Amino acid sequence: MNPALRIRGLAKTFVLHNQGGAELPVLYGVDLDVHPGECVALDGPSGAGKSTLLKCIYANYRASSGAIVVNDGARDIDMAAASARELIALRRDTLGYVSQFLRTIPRVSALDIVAGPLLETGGGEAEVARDARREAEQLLLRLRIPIRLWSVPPATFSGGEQQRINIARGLIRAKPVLLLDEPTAALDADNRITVMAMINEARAAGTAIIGIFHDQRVRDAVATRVVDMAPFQRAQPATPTGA
Amino acid sequence: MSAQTPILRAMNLTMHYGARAAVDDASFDLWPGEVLAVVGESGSGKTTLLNCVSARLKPDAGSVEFLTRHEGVVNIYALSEAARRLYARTDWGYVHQNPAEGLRMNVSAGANVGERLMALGERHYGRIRGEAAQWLSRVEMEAGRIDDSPVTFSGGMRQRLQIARNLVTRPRLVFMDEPTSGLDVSVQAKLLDLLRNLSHQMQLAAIVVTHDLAVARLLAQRMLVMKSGRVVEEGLTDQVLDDPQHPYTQLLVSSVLQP
Amino acid sequence: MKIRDNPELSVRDTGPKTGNKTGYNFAYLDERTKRMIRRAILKAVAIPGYQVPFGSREMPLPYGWGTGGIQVTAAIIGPDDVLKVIDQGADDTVNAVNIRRFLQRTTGVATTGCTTEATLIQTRHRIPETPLAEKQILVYQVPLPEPLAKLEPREAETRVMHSLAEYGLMHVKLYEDIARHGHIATTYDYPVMVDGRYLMAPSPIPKFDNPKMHMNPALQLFGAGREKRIYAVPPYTKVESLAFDDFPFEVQRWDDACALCGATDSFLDEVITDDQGGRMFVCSDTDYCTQRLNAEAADEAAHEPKRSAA
Repeated sequence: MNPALRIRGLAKTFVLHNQGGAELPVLYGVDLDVHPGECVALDGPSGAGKSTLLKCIYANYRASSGAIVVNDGARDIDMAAASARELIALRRDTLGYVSQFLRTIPRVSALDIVAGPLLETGGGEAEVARDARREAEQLLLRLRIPIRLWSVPPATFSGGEQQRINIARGLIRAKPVLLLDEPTAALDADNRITVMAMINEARAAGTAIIGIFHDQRVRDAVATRVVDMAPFQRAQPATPTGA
Repeated sequence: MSAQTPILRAMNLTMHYGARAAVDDASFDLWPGEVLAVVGESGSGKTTLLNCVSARLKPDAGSVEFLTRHEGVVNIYALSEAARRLYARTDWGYVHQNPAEGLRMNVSAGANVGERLMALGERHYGRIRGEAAQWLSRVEMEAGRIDDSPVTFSGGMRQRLQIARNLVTRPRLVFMDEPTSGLDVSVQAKLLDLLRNLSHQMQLAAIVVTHDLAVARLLAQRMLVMKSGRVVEEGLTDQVLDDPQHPYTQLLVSSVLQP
Repeated sequence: MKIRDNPELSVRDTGPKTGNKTGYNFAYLDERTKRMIRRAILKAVAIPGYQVPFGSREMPLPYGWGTGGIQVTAAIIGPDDVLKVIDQGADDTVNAVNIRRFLQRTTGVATTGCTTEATLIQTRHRIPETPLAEKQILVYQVPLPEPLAKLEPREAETRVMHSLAEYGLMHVKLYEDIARHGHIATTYDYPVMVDGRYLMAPSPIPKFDNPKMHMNPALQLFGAGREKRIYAVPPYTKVESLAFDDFPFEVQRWDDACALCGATDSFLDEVITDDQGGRMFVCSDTDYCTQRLNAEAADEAAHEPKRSAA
C-alpha cells in the first residue's frame, strides 16, 4: 500500500537575520514514510526538532529543502513546493493537526471551535451547521468537557481543557494524515485513556498518524512504530557561521 | 471546491509619488473565498496598493484583472468609467478605515444600507426597508436604529453599518483598509468576529490592509508583507508569522508586544 | 463688411421701429450675448433636462431676483411677441410688475395678463392653470438648477452622476422623507425625470404643477442666473415625477374651492383676512381666476335679458 505521507531529504535551518544572520540548524536529511493505519511516534529529547518536523509537514514552518508528499485524493502534491492555495486545500481536506497549544479566537465558543472543520466544508447552510455542532457535542461529552463550558470561548479554560478542545477539533473530521503534538501532556488519567482510544480509532479507520508522545504509556498504547530523531539532527557547527 | 481562475490578479503594479515609488512592482493573486492580509508599517505602500487594485487609483504601471460574474476576466482600468462604477456598487465593497468616509452621515442607517439597491433600480420602499432591516440585524445592530442617523452612532456601530452598506449587494470581493483600527479592543473583537463569519458565510474574497498582525492572523489565510512599496514576503498567514523568512518580516513579528 | 455696418452685431440699436427708447440694445442684452444664450438654449432643447452652462451676464437686478429667466426671455423675445410675466401665479405682484416693465421698456413689445394671448410667459414658481398651446414658450426662473445639490455638494460628483445616469441618491432622499415623515415630504421643486434620461429640478413650482410639464405642447425653458445654467423641456416630452412603487406621486388637494371663482381644480393660496383666524382660499393664478369670473359674468349677462324682459 502506498504511504499516505512521504518525506524525502527534509531539512530545516532557521536564519535569524536580526541576530547577525545566525543560523540554527534543526533538521537534516529526514526520510520518512507513513502508511495508512500506522502511528509513528517521534522519539528524542527536548529540542531535537520533533515539533519542528510536524510544523514543517503542516507547512506552518517552511522547509529549507526536501519534499513532503501527500495525496489529496486525486494526485500527489509536494507540500514543500505547493502554493498557498493548494496548502489551504490540503489542510482542509488531507492533513489534520493538533498543535501543542490551543490558539483561541475571541468570542468563538468551544463548541464552534470544535465544529469548525466541519462547518468549513458546508456553505453555511443551517443543516450542515446543526449536524456539525451535534458531532462536536458528542466529542466534548466524550472528553468530559462540562456542558456549561460549551458556549464559552476557551481562553479562560485550564490547560487540560484547552488541550481537549484542541484534540476534539483535530479529530472531528477524519483525514488521511494526522499530526499530533503532545496530545496528552496536560491530561488526567481518564482523559488520557479516552484520547488514546480516539487515536487508535483513527488509526483503525486508516489514518496515517505521526505524533509526539512524551508519556511512555501513551506511546506504548498507540504507536505502531517509533522513529528516533537522532539521525536527523544537523551536526552543530564548531564555530558560528560567518563565512 | 477550487476555481481555476483567481478573482483578482494584480501584476507588476507600480505607483510613483514624485520620485518615490509608493508601490514598486507588486504582484499577487486572490482566489474566490480567500482573505488576504496586506501588512506593513506606515509608509509601506499597503493602502496605495489597495487603492490601485480597487480601481480608486490608476497605477503608473502594471495591470489589475478581475474575474466578473458573467463576462470573464476584465482589465479594470480598461473598463469605462460607468462600468467601473457599476462594479464598485455591486460586485465590490470598500470598507474605509474611518467609517464616516464610507457612509452618508446625513441620512438614516436604513437609507445608507438601501442606497445601493436604489441605485440598481429597486423602487419599492417596503422591500428596500425590509432588506436594510435584515442587514442591520446581520451586523448585529438593533432594528430600532434603522431610522437613526449615523451621527448618533459609536465608532463600532458606524463600522458595522459601513459593512452592511457594502454587503447588501452581495459583492464577491471586498477591500478593507484597517477596518478595526481606532476601535476599542472589545469592539474590535466583535467586529473581527463579524467579519470572520460574514466572509465565511458569503464566501467573500477580501483584501485586508492592516498594521496589526493579530488581525491578520485572525481574518486572513494568506498574507503579504510590504516594505517601502515592495512585497518582501508572501505565504500562508501562520507560516509568515511563525516562520518569517525575510529580515523585515522577522523584525516586524518580533516587535509585536504580547499582553 | 465692417462690424459697425452690420446691424446684427451693433452694440446699440435704439431705432424707433423697436419701440425701445432706453438707449440699451433691444431687450437690454447685446447681440453677442443673445447669440451665446441662444446657442445654450439650442443645446438644452437638444438634450432635454440637461443643464447647459452659460455665461450669465450682469443684469440690473441682483442674483435671486430672476436674472436667469430674464436673460432667457431677453435672448429670444422678438418685436412681435406678446409677453406675460407672473410671480407665484399673479401678474400684479411687485416682481412680476418690475420684470414685465423692464422687458417692455427695452423692447416695446405688447404685454398681457391673459395666458391664452401670450406668446412668451416668464414665471416664478407656478405654471399657469390654463393649458398652454403649441408655439407658446414658458420661461421658468430657477434658483438652484442641480436637483442633487443638497445630497451631494460636490459638483464634480453630480456632473458624473448625470453623465452616467446614476440617480439612486435622489431616491435616497425620498426614502428618507418616508422614513422620517411617513410620506414624501417634498412639496415643491419636486424632482422629475425628463425623457427617461435626465434628472431635473423643475424650479420651486408646487408639485401640484408637475403633471402640467408632461407632454406639454409648449416649449419650456429654464434659466438660473446665479448658477449660470440653462435647461429645457421641448414640446411633447415625457416628464415623470419620482416616486416609489408603493408610495406613488400625489398632488396637493384642498377641501375648499376658490372663494372668488369657485374653481376646485386650481392651486389655492390661503389668505388671512382678519386677526381672529379668518381666512379664505383663492386661486393663485390670477388670470385663471379672472377668466373664470368673466366667463361667469358673461354667462349671467347672457341670461339676464330674459329676466328683464319678464
